[in-house]
Amino acid sequence: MNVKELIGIIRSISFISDVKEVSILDRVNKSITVLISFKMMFNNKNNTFLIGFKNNFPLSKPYIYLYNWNDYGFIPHVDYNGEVCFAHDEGLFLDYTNPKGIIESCVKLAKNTLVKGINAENTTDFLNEFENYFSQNKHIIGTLTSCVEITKDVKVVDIFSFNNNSFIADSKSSLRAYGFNNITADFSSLKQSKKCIYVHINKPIMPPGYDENWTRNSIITSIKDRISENSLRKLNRLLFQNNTTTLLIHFVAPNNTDCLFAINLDSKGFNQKEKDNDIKLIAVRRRDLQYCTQRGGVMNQISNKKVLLIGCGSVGGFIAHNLVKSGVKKLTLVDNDIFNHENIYRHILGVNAVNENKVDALKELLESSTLKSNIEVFKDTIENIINKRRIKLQSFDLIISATGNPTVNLWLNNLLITQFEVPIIFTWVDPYGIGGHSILANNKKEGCYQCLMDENTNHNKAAFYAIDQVFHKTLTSCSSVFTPYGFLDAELSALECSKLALSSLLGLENDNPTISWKGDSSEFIKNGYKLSERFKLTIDQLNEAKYFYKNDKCETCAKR
Amino acid sequence: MNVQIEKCFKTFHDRIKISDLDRKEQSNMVLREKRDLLLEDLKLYFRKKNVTRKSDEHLNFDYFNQGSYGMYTGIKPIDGDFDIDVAIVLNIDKTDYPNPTTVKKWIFEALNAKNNRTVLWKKPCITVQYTKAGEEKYHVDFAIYAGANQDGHCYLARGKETSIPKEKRWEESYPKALKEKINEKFINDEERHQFKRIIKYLKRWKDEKFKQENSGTGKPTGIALTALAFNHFSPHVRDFFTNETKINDLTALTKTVESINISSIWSEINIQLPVPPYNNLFKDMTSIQMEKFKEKLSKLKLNLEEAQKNVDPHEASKLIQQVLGNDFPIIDKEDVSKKSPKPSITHSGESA
Repeated sequence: MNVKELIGIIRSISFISDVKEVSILDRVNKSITVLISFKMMFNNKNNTFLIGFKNNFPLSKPYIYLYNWNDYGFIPHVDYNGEVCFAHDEGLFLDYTNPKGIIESCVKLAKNTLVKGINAENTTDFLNEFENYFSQNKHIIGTLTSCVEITKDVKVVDIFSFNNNSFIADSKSSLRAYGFNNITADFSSLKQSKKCIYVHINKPIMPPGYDENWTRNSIITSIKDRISENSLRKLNRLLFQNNTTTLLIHFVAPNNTDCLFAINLDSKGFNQKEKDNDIKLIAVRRRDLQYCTQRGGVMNQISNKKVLLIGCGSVGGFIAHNLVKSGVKKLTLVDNDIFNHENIYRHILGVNAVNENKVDALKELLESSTLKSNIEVFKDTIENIINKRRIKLQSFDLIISATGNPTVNLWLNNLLITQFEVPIIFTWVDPYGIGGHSILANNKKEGCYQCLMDENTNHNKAAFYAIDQVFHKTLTSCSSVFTPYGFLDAELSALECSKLALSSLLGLENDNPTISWKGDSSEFIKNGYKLSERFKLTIDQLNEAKYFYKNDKCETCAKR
Repeated sequence: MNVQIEKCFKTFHDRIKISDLDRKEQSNMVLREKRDLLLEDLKLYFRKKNVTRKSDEHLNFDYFNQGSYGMYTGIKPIDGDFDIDVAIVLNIDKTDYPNPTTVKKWIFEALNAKNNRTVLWKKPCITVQYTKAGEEKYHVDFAIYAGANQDGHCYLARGKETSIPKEKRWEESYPKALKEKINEKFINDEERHQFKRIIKYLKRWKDEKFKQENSGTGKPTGIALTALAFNHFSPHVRDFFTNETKINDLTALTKTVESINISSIWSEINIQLPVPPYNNLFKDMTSIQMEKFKEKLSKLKLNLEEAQKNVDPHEASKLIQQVLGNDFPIIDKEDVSKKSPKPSITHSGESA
């Protein structure tokens, strides 16, 4: 929309007057191409505001600015540039066919935000979004990138400087675990430049106004009011021992977010001085694990869980990836296979993994795609590892068998159920993409892999294929046999299995369901195979029947 | 569910069921022939009667098997007294015959023509009883209906010649309605067959457990048990997980009995015929008789539940025989240990 059109629309809004185009100011968003000033009655006066538009308006919302940022004092949701933050772009839908409506609504929303600020109804937003307000302060001397683990104590942390950036971490190795070693070529010779003292305070602190600063005495008083005697003594001691005046301060905001900021007291010690002085403010950019995982929608509750994954083939590979991306840190992989060319189009691993052990290549992939993953590998069969007592099954929170080998699965099932109290998931795919299945067993109740075996025929009751059929295809000779299914089938099975694994780890599943997903059967039928009656069930019916496979006279789980 | 127990139920059912009277099976021949002989006598009677009537006043009738024969829920009696129910629907208007016994008398006269049978007046019917030595003991009940009424309804002739006037009445009744209702309750063949089997099991249980009694002393009638099953049975013919047909009569019977046990019939002593006249099929039961009935039903439930839980099919079959009687076979101990060998190697489509 052009300036004339925009001015026309704004003029037609009843509560707005004195509409005119103004030249673009430095302080407004860089994408704004049209800036218009207008007046409206606000706070009992006819006040001037600015409204800015990007060139794609009305596909994006307009920006609203105060004439001066401090027209109404230091209030939440008004930044140093005077922009009123009235709505996040994320999750916002604009009826682009009604630009006047959009402008009118945005002005009203901005007004409401300002009223709340003036009436001090949203003061806690200062605490909840502390870092945002703090980082805009004009006394900020720089920014630190932090991967310090959030704790509730007082501790020494290291500051590293390279490539004109400053990083703050518990140690150099943690900096590596966060992947910052890739930023500089000289990482190995890098040394910490300074020490800094991390201190947790038990009550939030208000950010200073954008052009205000804290004095040494005022911030020391604020901190002293918010820590215990012990912590204070420790803080004092550490400041002296490490010969530093920099503090990294942490508190938990009322909305439970962690807030971090740093200050430099400028002179030694932690006592008030007769001659007070301004301190230096340092913004902190959080990159610690807690921050990253929350951003990814990942559940911190499962980071301490230990998972054993048996079988790192097509399905297992995706499961491993899903689990670490979902926050599982302690993962043990078991597989004695080498990754080959014929695996490439069914596996998460690619060309660069050819001729490597699957577990090694997978470990590398997992560690490079997440932070601080602790991947343990065994290049052997699970039966060897267990029989040679190289692994403690009871130390795991969950075991997943993605071997696709019903013999090993049944053996594992019976071993686990009779001797260990660890839940186990078995997962596999049916041929030609007709579907896949996962069963949770040994999870507080009856129902296990053995229950799925027909008492008379050993046919798997979950199968979408009818009994007495053979599906193997050979690639070259008798030596390499495989059951036909595709990349997406493996991924879908892994997805369902991973969801089941997470609900087990989070304690959301208190029984032993068999979860099945149904695929397309045309290829299967084209190859002359017969589907089972179960395949005719709808997804809802499959879900409703997920516990109905149990055999109340099961040789394994019913006799326990 | 145990396959061996289900086999027992199948054997049990084969032993107790009465097959369709009109199917040309040898076992039914005697009964069928007797019934047809009686029907011939009726036809003859009306033919003679019509000679003196104007052609538009000729009497004739339709007949069909009603009761358990009609619904295929009949079972062989333990004492050998077979019972066939035949509906005779006359082309008459009840208003022409204010006294229904006038009409019932025609049937009585028509049948009471030979020496080898005893014809009896009963309130709802005319009964022909055969007790001749050497022949199987059985009786045929003829229920007589007025089927050509101005109001379009169908009426049953009730009362004996000797009854007080109040008992001589036309009662609205639809002899085919119950049959249809029972037959249409389940569209799926397997479900309907199981429903009828469960009715038969309950009837046999009743015959076993009320051996010394008759309906006057608290023995529930077959139709009352049928109505109970109608309200409380739910089918167990399908494995929800595999979607395969899987007949489970033990569970179906257990659940039906459990459902009857917790129903309101015990406080209200009422179970209605599911079709007009919706009469209370328990109206002759006293509360003490109901208590006794419930006691026996609880024992049935207990044994069935114990059988379900029991891992030993031999023991389970014994528990069921205790309640359903000797026609329910017991699984030999040797058969239990003789488990069919599972294949050592099978093909699997599982992979990962």
